[in-house]
Amino acid sequence: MKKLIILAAALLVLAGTADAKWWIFGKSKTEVGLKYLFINKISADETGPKIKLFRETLGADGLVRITGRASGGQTGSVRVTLDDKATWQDVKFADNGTFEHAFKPEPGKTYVMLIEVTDTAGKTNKPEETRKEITLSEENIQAKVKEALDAMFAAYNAENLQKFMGHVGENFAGDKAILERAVKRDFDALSNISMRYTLNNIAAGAQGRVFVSITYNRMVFVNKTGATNTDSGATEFVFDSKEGKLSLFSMKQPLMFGLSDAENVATGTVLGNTSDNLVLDEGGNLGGSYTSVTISDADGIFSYDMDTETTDAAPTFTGCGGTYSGQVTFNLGNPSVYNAAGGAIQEIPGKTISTVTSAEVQAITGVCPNDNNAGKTYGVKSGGSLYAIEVVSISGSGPYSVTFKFRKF
Amino acid sequence: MKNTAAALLLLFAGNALAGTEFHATNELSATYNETAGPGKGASSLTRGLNFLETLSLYGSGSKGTWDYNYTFGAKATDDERNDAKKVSLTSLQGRLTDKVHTLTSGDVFESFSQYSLATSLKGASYRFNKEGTRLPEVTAVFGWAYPRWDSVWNDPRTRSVKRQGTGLRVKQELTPDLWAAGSYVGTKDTGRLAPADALYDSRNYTFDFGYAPIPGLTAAGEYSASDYDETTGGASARGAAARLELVGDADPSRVSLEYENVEPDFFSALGSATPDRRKFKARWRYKYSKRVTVNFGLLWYRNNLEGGSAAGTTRNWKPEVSVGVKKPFAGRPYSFADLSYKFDRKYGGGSSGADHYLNANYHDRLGGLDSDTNLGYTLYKTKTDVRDASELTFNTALSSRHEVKAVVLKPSVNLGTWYSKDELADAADKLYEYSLGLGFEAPGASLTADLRAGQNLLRKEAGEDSDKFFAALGAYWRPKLLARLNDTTLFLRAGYNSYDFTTSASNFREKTVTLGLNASF
Repeated sequence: MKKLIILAAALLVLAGTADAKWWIFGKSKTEVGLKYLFINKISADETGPKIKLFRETLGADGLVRITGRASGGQTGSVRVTLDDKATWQDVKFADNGTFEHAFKPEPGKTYVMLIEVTDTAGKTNKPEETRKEITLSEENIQAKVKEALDAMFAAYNAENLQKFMGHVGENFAGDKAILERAVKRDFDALSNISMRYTLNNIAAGAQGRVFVSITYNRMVFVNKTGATNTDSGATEFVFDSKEGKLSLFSMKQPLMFGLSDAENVATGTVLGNTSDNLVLDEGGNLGGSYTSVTISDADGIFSYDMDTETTDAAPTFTGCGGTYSGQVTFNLGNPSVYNAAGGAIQEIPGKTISTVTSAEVQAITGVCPNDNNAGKTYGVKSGGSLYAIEVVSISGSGPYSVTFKFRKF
Repeated sequence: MKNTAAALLLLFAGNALAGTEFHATNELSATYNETAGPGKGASSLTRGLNFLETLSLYGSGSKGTWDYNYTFGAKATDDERNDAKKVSLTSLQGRLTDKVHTLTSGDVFESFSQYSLATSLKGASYRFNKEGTRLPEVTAVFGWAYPRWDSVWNDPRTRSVKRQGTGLRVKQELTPDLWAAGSYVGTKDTGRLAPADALYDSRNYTFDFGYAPIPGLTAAGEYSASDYDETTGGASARGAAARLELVGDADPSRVSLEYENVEPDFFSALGSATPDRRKFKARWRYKYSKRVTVNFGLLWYRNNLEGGSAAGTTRNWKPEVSVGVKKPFAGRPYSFADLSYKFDRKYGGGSSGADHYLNANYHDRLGGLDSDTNLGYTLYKTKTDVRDASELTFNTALSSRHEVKAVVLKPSVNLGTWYSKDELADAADKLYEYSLGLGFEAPGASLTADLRAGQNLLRKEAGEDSDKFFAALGAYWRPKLLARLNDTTLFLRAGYNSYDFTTSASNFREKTVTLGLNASF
């Protein structure tokens, strides 16, 4: 590690001193040009020919700042035009060729910017190489975030990999190549993807980065089983504002995209994440979310351990609070459902296994309800852990059968 | 905290009246959803009538030498699938600057660097930056890393762990081409929701830099050391992360080299990092000619850097090459072809796989018909019998544009198929998709619409077959009646989905209609 850092430092020093331009074909050191150019702290190399800025990403003074450094001979003058060469303004520069120019843009107006650098020998750069069309959008950042998310969700729903990856930045924190392979695997494993969202929180930083928190709601078909799966929750994204649009910089768990390699794609987990994450394993099977269980039992009295996913058809304790942590006892003839010793179980009305939150489970205090009916969702506190159970169906009168979904928070 | 927010709102409302610039956007929509069929419980739609209202305000102005701006956003809905909260604040920020001192409060997003601070806080920040001097740029930030404003007032439905963050960054321009910065970010978690919730007390010390030694070459990197205590599990650890990126960019080439090493115990509560990963990445884009561009890429990464994982070490190689050709056929001015090959080699840690991805894309204009065709072949091969499968995908889209008096019609057809042969299960799955679309534009009446209908058919050799029929309409009208407002759109979205499975007890149908108005000035 240390050796690598030393080697990299040495390479950088050499690059700065020697004429080591093996990566730039056909450039001469004596040519007058720009060593670098930044528009609002974003490198002109990264912006593309058209730059769309947003009010919220400018500073409080609303100025666009153009900074750069002339290269070649001794700098004689630096000029800038914002109206495609119709008028030019002189720009103050330092002896070392650095310069800065700021202007306050009007929303909706396009500024065609070119920079002309002339050295003391009268040689000039090629201004056309610096051409940028700068526009201050009339849209607010919320509309822009919505546009970016809508496009990403639409491309993902339509399983269009090329379009989807067009919204991911080159510097994606989890790595763009890893995300691309993961999304490709998502598309192979899922079909009929239907995802919707609403915005929870947006924060634009002065550096052009935008933080976005959303509530999502998702339904997918798993090709391997042909079954549907739904989930919902809240997650976070960070976008970079570049090339006139927002591009994805990072995502947190629970993931919206790249479920097939969640470990490498996500950089962090949303605080207070209340849902198990939908993930795809190497074989294209869906994991995470909830587990669906169907149990048939002769007398309808059995216990189920949600940690080990095992059933005890003839439990020693069958009363309220009689089981061990992680377990619940069903009495399908009653019908009732009992919590473990010291735990709690209580219906959370109007909720499904996908929409119930850990906070709601944390708030329950009830024990052992005698009204266990299909369609109800219960919160379960047991042994320091939180669970939720949604009873899908109860049928039979001995033997009995119950289908329920459960998840651990 | 609630009172503080209310005071801020009042302050902003007052400012809005006196502000030199003020913009507002409001969108109100009502949605009616209906689900039917024995399997309707699988639908992700909320039945009945629901509404969604979003409001966004922006204002700016100046007083003396000080410039200010503010943003405010709110959302209201009665659909729990849209949000657990009926009314919530989506953004709140105020900024004040005299071009040297900048104060921000509310939603504060000061991105120090990737490893140290790359998320938003609810709090305040101060920045000192005197341009044209040798003085360093200093940024201080304090706040809470709540994912949303409702978490700030501890609403039980959106409550989260309370993560308090404090940060300081000093950035110095050492030469015109080189800057360096040092930063500290400390966090402290309190208020766990579940007994098992991890609570961190962490510190990150980070150094980052940027260097542009010659035209076209930039270097950037950072090193971050972390130190945390976790109270629930009683763990404490120290770790470090480093990354270095070199980019050479000048026509006809763009080369980037990236190295990253994130130790297993590295922890960044407010930054972005994938722990326990060493990565090397190289990319070269070469414009061979005006028509031909070639891209090469190589990504290598591994985990288990300290050898402590019981599962062992997994190594990944991901080389790729792609060629994009404009006008591959001289007589076809709108033609473009792209061919790519990607390879994934993963081994160690109990798994071994070699996957091949081959993809060809061609788009062209044939007479008045635009076409976009994609053909992909993927071979998943694992030595551990996790997944041995070959997959073929084919999609083509044809579209055209016809002007009929003052109306523009845009008919389109999409066809697609996916074939997957699972060698382990000895079963083949097929997915067929087709859809027909008609776009409609009446510029004189400020009306646009898009209608699309189609079917997706999944046929499985073993397992549940499914059919989905769908129809969707979107119509957008900018009425002249509301022309006083800068940009107003009345919209209608309607959809019908019918899902049928081999097991008819799973069948269900969805109908949805949304009517809304988006207005901004």
